[in-house]
Order: sequence, then structure tokens, then C-alpha cells
Amino acid sequence: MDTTLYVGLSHQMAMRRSLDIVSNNIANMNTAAFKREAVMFREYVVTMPETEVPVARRVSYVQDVAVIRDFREGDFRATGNPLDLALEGSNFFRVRMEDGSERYTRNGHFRISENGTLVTSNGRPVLDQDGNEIVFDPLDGEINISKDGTISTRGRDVIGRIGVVTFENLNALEKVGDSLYESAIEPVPSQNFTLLQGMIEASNVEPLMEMTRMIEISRRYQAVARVLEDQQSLQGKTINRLSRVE
Amino acid sequence: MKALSIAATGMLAQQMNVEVISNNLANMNTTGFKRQRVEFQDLLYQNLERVGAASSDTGTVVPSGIQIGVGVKAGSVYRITEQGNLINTGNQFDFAINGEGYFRIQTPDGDFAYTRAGAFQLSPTGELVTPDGYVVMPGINIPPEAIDVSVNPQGEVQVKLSGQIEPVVVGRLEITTFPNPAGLEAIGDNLLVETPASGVANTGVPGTPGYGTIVHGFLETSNVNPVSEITSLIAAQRAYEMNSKVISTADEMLSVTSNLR
Repeated sequence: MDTTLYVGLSHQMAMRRSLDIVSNNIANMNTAAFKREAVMFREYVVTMPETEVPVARRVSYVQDVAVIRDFREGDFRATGNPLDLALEGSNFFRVRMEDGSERYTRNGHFRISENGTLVTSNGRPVLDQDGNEIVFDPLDGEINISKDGTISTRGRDVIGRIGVVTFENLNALEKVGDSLYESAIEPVPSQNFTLLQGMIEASNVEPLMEMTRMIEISRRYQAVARVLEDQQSLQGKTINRLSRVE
Repeated sequence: MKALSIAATGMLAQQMNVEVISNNLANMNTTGFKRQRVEFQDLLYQNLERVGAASSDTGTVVPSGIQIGVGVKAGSVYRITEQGNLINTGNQFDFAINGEGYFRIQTPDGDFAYTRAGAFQLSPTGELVTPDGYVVMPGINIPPEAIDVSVNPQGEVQVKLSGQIEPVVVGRLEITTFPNPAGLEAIGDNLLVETPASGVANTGVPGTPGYGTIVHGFLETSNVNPVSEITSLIAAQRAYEMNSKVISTADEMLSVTSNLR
């Protein structure tokens, strides 16, 4: 009898979770290299044994199974900062955490730390292709980073190459905040990539699409609320009529 | 409902964005000002279903899991130390630095501060000072009988005294560089001070490797580009509006639930 209510409830829970995801996309629409996310739903079928009519035995609930990430490139914006780097394709920079583990990021807003190391904006070292830190000399002068990641300065010729990696399955990456990704699987060094100096990858959130998604979520939620109301009044009527003594 | 607090973090972030942009625009004509930019980062994620968790006893795993982000934060506000334009002022005590480095200034409490605004003047004792009267290091005295001052790109200050043919060298302007100039702390009045993040100051001769050169009679304008600031302002305002729209949608959904009969 209450199955309608529970089916409706499962849909409302799903819509609430969708709104959480959409609002996180909108909140991060100006976050560098942020990747849009969406929830994937599936039908969860339960067979009810006690019903008389065979077709009514199957009840489908909604279940959210996964959050999928859209790894398309965001727009590249020129910033005029020589240490802003943008990566083309599904490639990542390597970042060393405080505990020595490695994380990956596409947010190429870097700076030079007080001891001359190339670091992310949170002060974590960016690694070269061999997994070492990249160190600049205070007198190095102008820094040039070519399209294949080779770093050269006016003072010294070549001082290293930025480490760029890729993954076989991008959906196995886990986001850990601060624009960083964590992976349980070892990355593969990327062979062909293009790196652009003085550019930053913008987020790939399309505000217009997110707004329409949000309206859709809100309307669906209302529609289900309506179904629940109808179901409840139906129940009320049934109880009234059946309990009437003729 | 998480959407409410997520959208609130988005509104706060955009508000900070507008504040930074308005400071850039306000300092559009400030000598030697370097524009700032906010960098945003996503906040931590809640794992509702972990990536790689076993989905059955036979060893199949969840391919992507459910991770819900909880919003955005301002990661850093950083200065873009791009060179500003040099404009000719013709003033004999105006200096600009072409390339890396800062002028070193001694503040009244004896500490050092650094600036790229080279609009200097003379103190009553003939010393080269900033518009606030702080001494420009290493301290250059222009004799009162000097009739002309010239400074070469290497910072050497030469004065022509009346009645003499050969110019006299009275000192040399110095330039200070930092490993991480973006880490300097702005204290207002066009001055910056050293911090643990900027690294140790290296003072040297202008024109030597790693140091910029002095341009006499010129001032460095701010590197604010009004057109790009205004477009960023429009983008920030729209982002703010969209986040507020999320709040009203979440509110609407909550009211639908509370009005269920």
C-alpha cells in the first residue's frame, strides 16, 4: 500500500543529491581546471511476491550509483603570469604532499617558494618527470617553459622537464579538494602533450546548462510531491469509504 | 540540504572576487601597482560510496563511486608581477625599473620596505626620498649646487655642478630581488615587505644578470587592464547571481516538502 510513497521518496532523494552536485558545479564555475560532475541513476527493481496481478509485482525505485566526471578541457585563459601552465588533453601535473605521497592536478597555477622550488598555490612541490622537485636559482631571471615541458631560464639553459602523467581510467581518480586528485593505480608518464605557458585552464562548467538542470530538478521534485499528495488523499478516501457502515 | 551551504560558499567566493577586482580598478592609476587575482579551489569531498569498493562477493568493484563536493574556497589572492607600461614624465627624480626587482626603502622604524613606484623627491637635506619622506637606500645625497642630475641604466647617479664640466658620481641606486616576489606582503603606500614566503632579499647592481635596469625620467604605470577587469567583474556578478538562484531553488524544494499534506 505504501509502495507509491517509497518510490516517490526514492526519486526525491535522488533529486536532492542531484541538486547537491549541481550546486557544487555552480559554486566552482570559476575554479581553475574544475571538472563538471553529474549523478548517474539506475533502476532498482524489487519484486513483490504477494500481489495478485503479475505486472504489478515489479516495483522500480531510483538509485544513484555513481558520480561521473566530465573530463573535457575547459577554456584556456591568458593570465600573463609566466608560472601559470595549462595542459592539453587528459594529462596531469604531479604534486608531492606533505606525507611524501603523490597527488595529481590540472590546475597549473604555480609559484616559486621561498627556497626557489616550484610549488602549487598551497606550497606543495611540483615534480619533474623523474619525480624530483624543480629548483630555481634567485638569479635565474626570466623563466621559459616550452610546449613539451622543458624549463629553461635566462641564466642557465635547461634545468629540467615538468612531469606530466596520464591515467588509463580517469574515472578511478578520486577528488580530494584543493584541485587535487588521488589515484590508487600508478599513473603512466604522458608522451604526447602540449603545455601552454602563461595560460590557465578555466573550469568546464557551463553555467547555462547547470541552471536548466537545476530548474528541471526543482520541477521534478514538485511533481513527485504532487503524486505523494494524491496518493495520500486516495488512501484517506479509501479508509473513509470502506469504513462507512451502510 | 547541502545545496544551501554549497551555494553560500560560492557566493562568499564571488564576493571576494568582486572585492579584489574593485581594488584593482581603484588602483588603475597607481604608480607601480600590480594587479591581483583570486584563485579558487574546490573544498573537500564526501565519499558516499568509495571508488573501488567491492560491489559483489565475486570481486567486481564500483567503477566511479559517489563523491559529493561541498563547495568552493578562495585558495589564494596573488599579485601578477607583469611589467607595467613605462611613461615618460620628464621629471628628473622619477625612476622606473625595467625588469626584475624593487627599490629598497628605509621606513621610519628602521626596517626595509620595497617598492616599484619610483616617484622620488628630495628631502630638506638633499637626500633622495619617497613622497612620504622615507629614504631610498643606499642613501643618495644630491648637493644643493647641482644643476642637473642624470642616472644611467646601471643606477649610477651623476650630478653636474655649476661651473664644472665633468659630472660627479654621487652614488648608485640599488635593486632588490626575491625568489618569490608574489610572496611579498603589501603594507599600503605602494610599499611591500619581506615575508617568509617571499624568501631572502638579494640586493644588487641594476643591469647585472637577474636584476632589471633603471630608466630615468620614466614611471611604471599599474599593470591593471581595465577592459579585462570589467569583464571579470561582469562574470563575477553573474556567478554570484547563479549561486543565489541555487539557494532559492533549494528553498523552493524544502518548502514543497514542508507543505506536503
